[in-house]
Amino acid sequence: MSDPDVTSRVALAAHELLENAVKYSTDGETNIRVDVTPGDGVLHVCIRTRNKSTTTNMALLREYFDDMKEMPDPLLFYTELMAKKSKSSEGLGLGRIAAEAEMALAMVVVEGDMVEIRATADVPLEPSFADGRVTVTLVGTADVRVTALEFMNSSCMKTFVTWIGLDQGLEADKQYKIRFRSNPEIHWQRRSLHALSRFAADLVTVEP
Amino acid sequence: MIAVLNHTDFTARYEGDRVVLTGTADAQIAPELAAWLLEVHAEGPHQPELVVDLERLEFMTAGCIKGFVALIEAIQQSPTSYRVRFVPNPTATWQRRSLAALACLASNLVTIDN
Repeated sequence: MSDPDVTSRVALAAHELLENAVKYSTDGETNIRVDVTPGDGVLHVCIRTRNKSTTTNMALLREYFDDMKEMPDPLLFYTELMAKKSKSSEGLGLGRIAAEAEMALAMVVVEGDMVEIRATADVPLEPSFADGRVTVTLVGTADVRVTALEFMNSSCMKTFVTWIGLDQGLEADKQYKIRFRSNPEIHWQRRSLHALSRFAADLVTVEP
Repeated sequence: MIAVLNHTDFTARYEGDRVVLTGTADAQIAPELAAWLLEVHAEGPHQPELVVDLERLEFMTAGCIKGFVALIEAIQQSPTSYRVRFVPNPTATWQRRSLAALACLASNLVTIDN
């Protein structure tokens, strides 16, 4: 893996997974395994940790994974976790892996009380981008109609977060309202757009 | 005067509206770092900004990032608001990703140097 961004993502995921496994292991033992397998133009990366866990923690973990699946965008899920008023950072590490390391997460009960967490990603063999910059030019009104938008990935969602941030950074008399017109029948839109609106409740509104 | 926070290979230092973090901030230091950052906040008013230098920070775990979330919340609740300007290490690409996520919480308070 020659791309420093990819190695950084893998290191971040390995660190957070291992820390979690050590924290929740009931017998003090933890295993970590990292597989990097060449595929068709990509490398399949899989990091797994195994540890024995209590039934209570396994149930909480299942609930956590269900919540994560409900939220279509990992960054929004992670920022919601960060914004929770609780001083606890439980679950933050896994959320970070999904959002920052851009790795898919899965939980498997291997046998009895042994739980395995997997973080996987397919990464290109060549560096995927030069400097990570995305430039989007938005023209016209700040009326964003997404009624026919079937899905938006986290990179595009981040662009909206940046846009809202730019709006927030303007002097009060230069700020403008951003109104999303959503489709109530598309489930992900409600959660994602409402999470977006929380970044700037005074500027962003969501209409069904 | 705020004492230097030392733990294994991690150091947090506060010098005149500038926080300098060095080494690896793991889960063990997370509660102390969170309390330390709130001490720095209380030392305020940090006008116009508090600089957080991460140039020598090798890694920070999610638990420690939560400490910065608490700092941002404290600033939001404070009558005298100020910006937090992060100075990342351009070669530590995880920092760019982590700071971008943190900035999502309060893009009006958090700035990240290029």
